[in-house]
Amino acid sequence: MKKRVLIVDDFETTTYTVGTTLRMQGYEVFKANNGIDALKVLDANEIDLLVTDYEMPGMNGAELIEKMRERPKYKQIPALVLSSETSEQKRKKAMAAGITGWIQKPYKLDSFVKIIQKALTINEGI
Amino acid sequence: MKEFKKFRDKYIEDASELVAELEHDLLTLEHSPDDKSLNEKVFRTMHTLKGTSGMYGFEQIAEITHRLETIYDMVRSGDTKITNKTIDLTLSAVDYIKHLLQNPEDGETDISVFKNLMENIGEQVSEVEKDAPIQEVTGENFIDQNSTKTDDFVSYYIAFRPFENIYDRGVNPEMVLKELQNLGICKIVKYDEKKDLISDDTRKCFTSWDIFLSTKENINEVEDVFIFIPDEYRMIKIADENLFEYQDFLEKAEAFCRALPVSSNGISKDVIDEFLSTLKPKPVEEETGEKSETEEDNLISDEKQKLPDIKTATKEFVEQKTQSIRVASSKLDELINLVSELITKQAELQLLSEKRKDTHLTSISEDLGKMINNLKDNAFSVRLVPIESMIVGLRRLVRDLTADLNKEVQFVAQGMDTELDKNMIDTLSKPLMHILRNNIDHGIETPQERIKKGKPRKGRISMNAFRMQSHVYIQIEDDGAGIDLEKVRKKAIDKEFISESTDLSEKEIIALIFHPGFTTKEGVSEVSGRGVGMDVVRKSIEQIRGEIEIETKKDIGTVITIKLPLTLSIVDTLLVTIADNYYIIPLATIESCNRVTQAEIDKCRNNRIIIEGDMMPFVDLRQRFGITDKPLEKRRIIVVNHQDRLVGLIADKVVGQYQAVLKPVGEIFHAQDVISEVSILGDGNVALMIDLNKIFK
Repeated sequence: MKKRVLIVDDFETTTYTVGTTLRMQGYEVFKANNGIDALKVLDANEIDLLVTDYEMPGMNGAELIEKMRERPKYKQIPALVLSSETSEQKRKKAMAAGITGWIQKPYKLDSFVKIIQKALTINEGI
Repeated sequence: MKEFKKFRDKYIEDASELVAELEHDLLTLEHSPDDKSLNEKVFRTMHTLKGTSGMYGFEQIAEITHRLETIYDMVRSGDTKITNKTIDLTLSAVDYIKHLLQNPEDGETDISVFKNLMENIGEQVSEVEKDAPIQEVTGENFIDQNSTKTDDFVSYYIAFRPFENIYDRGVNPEMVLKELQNLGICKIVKYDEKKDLISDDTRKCFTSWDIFLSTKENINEVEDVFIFIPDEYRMIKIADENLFEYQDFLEKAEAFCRALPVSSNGISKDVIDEFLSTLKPKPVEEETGEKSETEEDNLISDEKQKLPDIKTATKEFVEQKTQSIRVASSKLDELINLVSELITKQAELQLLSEKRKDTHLTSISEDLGKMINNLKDNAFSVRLVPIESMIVGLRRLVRDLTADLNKEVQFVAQGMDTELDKNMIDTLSKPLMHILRNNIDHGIETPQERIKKGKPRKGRISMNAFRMQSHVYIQIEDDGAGIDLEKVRKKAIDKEFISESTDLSEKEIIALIFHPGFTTKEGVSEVSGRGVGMDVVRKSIEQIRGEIEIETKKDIGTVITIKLPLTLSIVDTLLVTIADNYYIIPLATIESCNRVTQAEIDKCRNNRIIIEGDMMPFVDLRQRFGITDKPLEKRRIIVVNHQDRLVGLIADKVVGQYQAVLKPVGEIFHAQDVISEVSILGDGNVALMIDLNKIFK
């Protein structure tokens, strides 16, 4: 079965590029432009991986992941923040909120794909 | 690459739009430098540019925007203000970015503009940043995809200290270790086990690891393993060689780590160096002569320097010795299969040599037999897996269930390094889960009930595995309510498994639990009632030739013991005949073999017979298999211990002990269940394995 990835970013450019990259890798891609919509997608589907921007209007990436973790089915589903935010404090806070990993932008395409693959297996066996 | 170009074109299109927007915003910002929302917009645009540019090979744009972003971020947080100089600088950067987007190759051919620009930005940043700590340069954050393997081994020491919430972040530390093992040779020392085993909260991770890794992979590959947990490990490069080539490394590394205080945050470089200097080099194949202890000590540093030469000489040998390799389990199955065939063939040879009375041939055959026996033991040991491999799933189950059922349970696991055949582990995990589910759902009481009963608030389930002779035992013990035998009895009467008047011993009542369709809990609970009952548990355990036993005491708790054979497909058996057919019975179950006459058998009533003073039920295999011709007068009774009772099996003749290679019975025999497997004898005859569980039903 295709793994389902949800991409959340308020910038179309990111959801477009990341989304297309992942679709080409054989993943099923879901998109949302903000945290509220993302939660709706999460509730309506069985998502295998969340990739979200950090700075978004309304709800930031860490808050979204915190909300996601409140849902029993997403307790141990990997969730990545994809951000060029370099604040160590924010990253630590997000770690405490239950993010699986923080992908620092900029990144290269193939290492990005590798990270996604890794994220989809790192929770195996929990 | 075609797709990549498509992306790149799309990126250039998007980026050009963003840059145009940026330019427009900058010009507005110049007139109203205090406009917070506008500054925010500029920052975000820059941010987006930075995020996407690196992906498509526009590293320069990524670096420029990364540096510039710092300034706008500080404006955002109120640490500095927009100045004309900032705007000027940004605009010149925008011009260069525009140029780059149209002529990407210019960024490579002429980096003077870029350098110049970066310097200017750098100056500006350090100006506004005077008070704030300098941020890392972005270059370090790139993940290097060039994972070129180096030719030589490099060794690292890694202190892996997961945060307690690692599971709740969707990261399984075991997977991290697995990935490390894929990179090279690892020595993994697990810590803090005590706390881990009796953890108060199974949802948290209290374990940490010390790892020695020798690998040919680039350091980036190693760091990538920890990409999601950058704060939870510390890695030191400790040597430019493969430490596992030192003969005493494994042993010493373990002792060394164990000697560290539990709270230790890992080892410092100095301590490691000191430790490394104590290692003995791998001995050279030719004898170097006896040395006294002190002489050897003095020589160590000397020898260590000479080591590279020694290493090349013994490299192949050494690597074989220490390296663990991963093999597809299908290959292992094939190996066992081949060994089995070999055993069968050897039996044939043995038979032939005896027939020919050729002593030379007999001695070859016997030697071959011994060697095959060693090979068999070896092949089986390869398939052994520690029970620990199941534990994560079980722990997880306990954690989730206790939460769902509002119960409090302490789960303790011991002896998890006990090894079992891989196939058995696979078959076992479901029944074990079911047992644990029962323990938590039916056994352990709610905290309120427990307090009322004067028990500690938190229930306790312990799982203990150990090996005794040729069996492995797994015991699961809880301190819950125990099984209510009266309830079990009533239920069995309700379900008409037994009648009201049946007088049953405690053991027999417990045995009712394994009856298909039995469940005591009123209404199927969501947890235990998943369609599988204890009968299924028993079935799967019997499938791997195991036995299950339950002991229970009201309000004290329940102990479930699972007894498993060490190997599955090669079993020591007793070969017997009935009429002209061969049958085999597992040797481990046999108590004694006795003579019995047909007249004695005929005198018995209710199929009960007295053997050596013990009265026991028996099965006449002749009758059981419907053989009607006249039996021999002298027959044999094989007394077996079946579920703690002595039971007799009457056969015609006993041939002797036989190491049987078991094969599944063909599909057309599936209608019967008395024969569980077959084995081919040396002379080509087929021996049928009697399933004791079925024949005594």
